[in-house]
Amino acid sequence: MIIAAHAIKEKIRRKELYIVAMIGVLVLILFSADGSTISIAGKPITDYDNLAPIFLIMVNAICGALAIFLSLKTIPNEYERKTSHLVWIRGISQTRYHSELAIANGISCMLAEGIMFIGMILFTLMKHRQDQLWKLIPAYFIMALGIWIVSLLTSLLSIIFPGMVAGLIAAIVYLAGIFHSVLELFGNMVSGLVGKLLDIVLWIVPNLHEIQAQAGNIFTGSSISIHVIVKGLFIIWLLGLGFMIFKKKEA
Amino acid sequence: MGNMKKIAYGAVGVILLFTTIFTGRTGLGEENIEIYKKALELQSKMEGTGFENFRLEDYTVAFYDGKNDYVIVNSDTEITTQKREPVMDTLVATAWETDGEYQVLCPTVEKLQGLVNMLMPAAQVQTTPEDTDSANTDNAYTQESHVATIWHEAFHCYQLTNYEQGIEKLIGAEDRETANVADTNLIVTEVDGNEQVVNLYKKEIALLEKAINEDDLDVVKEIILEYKQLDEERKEFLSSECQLAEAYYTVMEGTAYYVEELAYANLQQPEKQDDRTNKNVVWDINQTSANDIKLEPYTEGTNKYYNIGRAQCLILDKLSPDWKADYDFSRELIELIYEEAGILQ
Repeated sequence: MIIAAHAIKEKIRRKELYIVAMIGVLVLILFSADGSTISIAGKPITDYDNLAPIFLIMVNAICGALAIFLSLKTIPNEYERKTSHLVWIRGISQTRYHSELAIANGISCMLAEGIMFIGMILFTLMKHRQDQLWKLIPAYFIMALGIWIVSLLTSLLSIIFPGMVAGLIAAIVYLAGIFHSVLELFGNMVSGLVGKLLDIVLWIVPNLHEIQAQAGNIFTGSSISIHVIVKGLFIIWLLGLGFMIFKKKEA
Repeated sequence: MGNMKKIAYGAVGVILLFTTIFTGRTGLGEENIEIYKKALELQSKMEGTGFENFRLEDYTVAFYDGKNDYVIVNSDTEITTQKREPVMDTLVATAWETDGEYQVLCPTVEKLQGLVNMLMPAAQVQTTPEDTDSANTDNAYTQESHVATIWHEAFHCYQLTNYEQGIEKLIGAEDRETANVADTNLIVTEVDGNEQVVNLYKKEIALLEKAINEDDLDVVKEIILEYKQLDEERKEFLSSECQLAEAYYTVMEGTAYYVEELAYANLQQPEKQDDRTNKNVVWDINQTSANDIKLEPYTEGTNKYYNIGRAQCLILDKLSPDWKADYDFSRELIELIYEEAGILQ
């Protein structure tokens, strides 16, 4: 895991991790400041139990976007700077090289998520709900599943496609993933070709909203679906398989 | 990657795949069965509606989960489900002719909750009773809402199974299927698009609300007389086709909504607030009377006819509690009201 450790160190050294994460934290702090409220149907939502799941939706949305940003250029940059040649001469396989870089991306994203969760901790303390702090731990790891999916997918796409195309596909999958449940309902309401096409798209795209909803369930006291968690792990496994299958031609 | 590592990776994948399949839900969610049971349990209370031989258990109920229909099979000993290809591959609660009979087709509660939450975000928010300034759960789609929806659609099955001729007479057509009464464009253009009609309607709704909450029958009759004048004035703006469409929706949906609300009220604890109206509702079915009921304001589209039709049912309950016993859906509810109130057409 030397390559992964090196890649993480570089991300920390280049401070991109902090910059993007701080933007997210700033949004969260602004969001949770005393003067600001969320209004739904014209009525303010102020209590912690209702706000926490809404915050998780925001954290999930921001972290997903961060995952694309943090993962898109890591592997192409290595090739651009010819660092890859230093790896080949040590007899390290492409699969291992790409996998370790992808793992580095995933861990960086989890770090960014961790920084975002500091905002959640502050918010919890501001609302004097110390008793709820422990819930942030399982919520963090459940949400990390979705973030890993986006990060691994972006890393994998960056091997197969040029930067812009990979970023675009990752962004579409990410958006379809966080709006999966909405699109699913929409698909149920429309029939014909559009409905069928949507069914196919939604079968391929992982349901990121479903994963985040499980984290929200911890706060609302609803049951957590083991199926969703295991399915998330299986998707990560499938993406991992992708690094064994797809190779970069330039190597 | 060494062979051992590959085998280990493959083994993890196989375990995850089987666990995913094993933990995945197959069949209809238990909550829907519970809802159906709850709906059936209401039967004895709902017999007080007075509609002759209207029983939920006479109609097949199928839940659509977005992929399949799950038909409820209600044997003497247990309730099971039978999977089938969806009759209507879309999220809609309806009464539909299937396999030679009218069946209740409705989405699963999970699907409908998802839909309501998507369309009305406030429905997702839960509040404590003292949290009165925050968003409340007015719009929340609950198990009780689903029970009431099943009763609503079962009532449509009852109408269509037993009173096809009456309905055809109501709309002046020989064949309900080919008649154009369900054309909502007429409502949109002639009713919603005409400010004078809308204003008259708003006044009519206010009068209906007043009549429902009035105990003195003489005062109720006076209100009805005032209503009749406004209604006649309003109808002058409408084509005969549009008037038939209104009659159709008011009778069909108004009575079904009346049954739906009755089911909903029956599910509430005594003296509990009716979440839909935010009013203390005391709904004594034996006396078929309702107090302090607030009607929903005028809305565009066909929704207003649910509201108006239900209000007319409630007024008929006051004027003639047995009106439902021989009602065959061939006449407008308002005609019956005028008749019972002794007001000549």
